[in-house]
Amino acid sequence: MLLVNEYMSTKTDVVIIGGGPAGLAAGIYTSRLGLETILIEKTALGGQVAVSPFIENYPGFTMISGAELSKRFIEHAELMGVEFRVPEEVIKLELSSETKIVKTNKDTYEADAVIIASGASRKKLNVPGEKEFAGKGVSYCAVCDGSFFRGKVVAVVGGGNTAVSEALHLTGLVKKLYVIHRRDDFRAEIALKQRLLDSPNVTQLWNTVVERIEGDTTVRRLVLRDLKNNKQYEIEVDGVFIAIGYTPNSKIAADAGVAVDKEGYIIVDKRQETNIKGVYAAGDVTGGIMQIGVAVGEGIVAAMSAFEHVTGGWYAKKKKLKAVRIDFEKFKEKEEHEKREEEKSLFKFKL
Amino acid sequence: MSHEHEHEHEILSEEDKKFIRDKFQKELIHPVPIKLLVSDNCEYCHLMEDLLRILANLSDGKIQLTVEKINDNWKEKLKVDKGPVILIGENNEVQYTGSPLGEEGWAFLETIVLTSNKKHGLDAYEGKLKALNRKVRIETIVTPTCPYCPHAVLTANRIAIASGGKVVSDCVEAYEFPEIADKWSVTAVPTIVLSVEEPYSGQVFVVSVPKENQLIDAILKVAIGE
Ligand SMILES: Cc1cc2nc3c(=O)[nH]c(=O)nc-3n(C[C@H](O)[C@H](O)[C@H](O)COP(=O)(O)OP(=O)(O)OC[C@H]3O[C@@H](n4cnc5c(N)ncnc54)[C@H](O)[C@@H]3O)c2cc1C
Repeated sequence: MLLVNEYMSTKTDVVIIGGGPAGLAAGIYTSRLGLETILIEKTALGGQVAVSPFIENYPGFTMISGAELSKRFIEHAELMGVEFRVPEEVIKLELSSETKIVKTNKDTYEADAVIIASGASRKKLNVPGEKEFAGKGVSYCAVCDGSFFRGKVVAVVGGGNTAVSEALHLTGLVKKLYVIHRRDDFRAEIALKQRLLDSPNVTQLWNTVVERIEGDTTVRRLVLRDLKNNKQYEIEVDGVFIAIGYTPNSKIAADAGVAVDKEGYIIVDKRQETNIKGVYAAGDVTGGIMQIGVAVGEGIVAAMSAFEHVTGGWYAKKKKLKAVRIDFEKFKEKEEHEKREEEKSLFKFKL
Repeated sequence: MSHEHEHEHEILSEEDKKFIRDKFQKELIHPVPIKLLVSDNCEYCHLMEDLLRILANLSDGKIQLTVEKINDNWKEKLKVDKGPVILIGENNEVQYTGSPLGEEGWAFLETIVLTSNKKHGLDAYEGKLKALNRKVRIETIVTPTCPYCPHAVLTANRIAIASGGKVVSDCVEAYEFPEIADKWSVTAVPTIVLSVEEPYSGQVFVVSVPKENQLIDAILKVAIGE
């Protein structure tokens, strides 16, 4: 049971900040290890995966939509007994004493360990017109907004995996797609890159940067600069999707004394522990390779380290673990359902 | 009724139905009036009718469903000329213009429950909302593939439920009603428009998921004409 003390803060063993793959994986583990786990997510569970058009490199799934994969992560964590607080935003951390205090816009939590899995957000271009036309042609989510541009002319800015996968999602919808990148090649997997280069309605604009976004009621054109000859020119577009990289969501942690590198990524050791004992970080917020599999792996390491910290290790019995709150009934039902589905599909499988 | 059997399988699996029946059994308290407005040439009207009938069946009589054609009266009042439009609550305080499919599904279910048990969690604001001197409409424009959108819609719906009908929350599905989305040149979702009295007459408040206090502050302001 969660205890509410006289100051009305909620006590728990572990608080996880962020409901992306790192946070959900960590939650599955801490919960199964017997730690009471509260996961706080400010927008929607699933994190960036929920808005990824498709995933082709997560082992075990040759191809799965981001929406489906995140649904599976969420269901799994829920079945294992993770308590979700959504939508709720962590606004302040107090980490210096043994009991960690996590303040949100709705509540205050006290925990023995905190796992920061707050991920990363899209970088803004920071050019004139970007703010003005946000939601009027400027977008940061192809899965959410792509269909508004059916049959239209659209640009994607960026050259990494995110930009290329968003571009691939859009090629099927739009009439013409420009991909604008400041270098002369993509920094994306060749498996993605080649498909984009082969798409008939795509034009690459290499060595090019966006200087202004212009329009009237909506975006009409981009003012670009060709870095090779330093010439400015314009292209007419109906929309622009921006995917030029990430900034870590680490400000709240840094304000509470968690060490970050010069780009703001949280610094961790091999156990995913930060400079503060009992405080762990995992996933995109720690930088490095920013992929689902890595986020999941780091989430698991953080969970195991948090478990050792809270309990003192397997045999220390520093803390009496409460009963694991896994809804085994539901778990069994789900297993049976999956088995039936599997049987059905086996039955259907004819060569 | 003839359509029910055609779709029943595709709309909800047996597992989904069980989940919903349990949820309704545990959480529904007061009856929930739901009106479905349909029209000819409506791609999703039959599907919505089937879905709502199934939900009503799972609700042990708590969901009181009526299905009507959109007549001139509704057209004039709601400023739409086709279905599906779903109106929930005693005062039609929650409206879905277009189908609550895809990502919107869970928030739609939650809205039915909150309409019934009134656990909107906005007690601190209830007095102020009920005292509004003009009717304010929150129009949230969404797409079925946007995972953030249902959070915005649910916040708006909770406000509408707490206001006892002074605030109407309308979730507009952009692909089924492009003419409404086009009115504000919507190209990203969720886009939230605040209108006073007359549907679809107001201005964009924000393109994102607002916090409940931000949205309530904005409603109180537009109601007094600020
Ligand atoms: C379009 C796109 C395509 C991609 N394709 C692939 C792919 O094919 N394969 C692959 O492996 N990876 C892919 N990725 C990358 C992958 O999605 C990320 O590496 C992964 O989601 C990181 O997980 P995370 O849990 O660290 O962070 P995130 O997924 O960013 O989740 C962090 C969560 O924390 C929440 N949060 C932040 N601050 C707070 C706060 N103060 N309070 C509460 N909650 C907070 C956020 O709302 C968010 O939901 C893709 C990403 C995008 C955007």
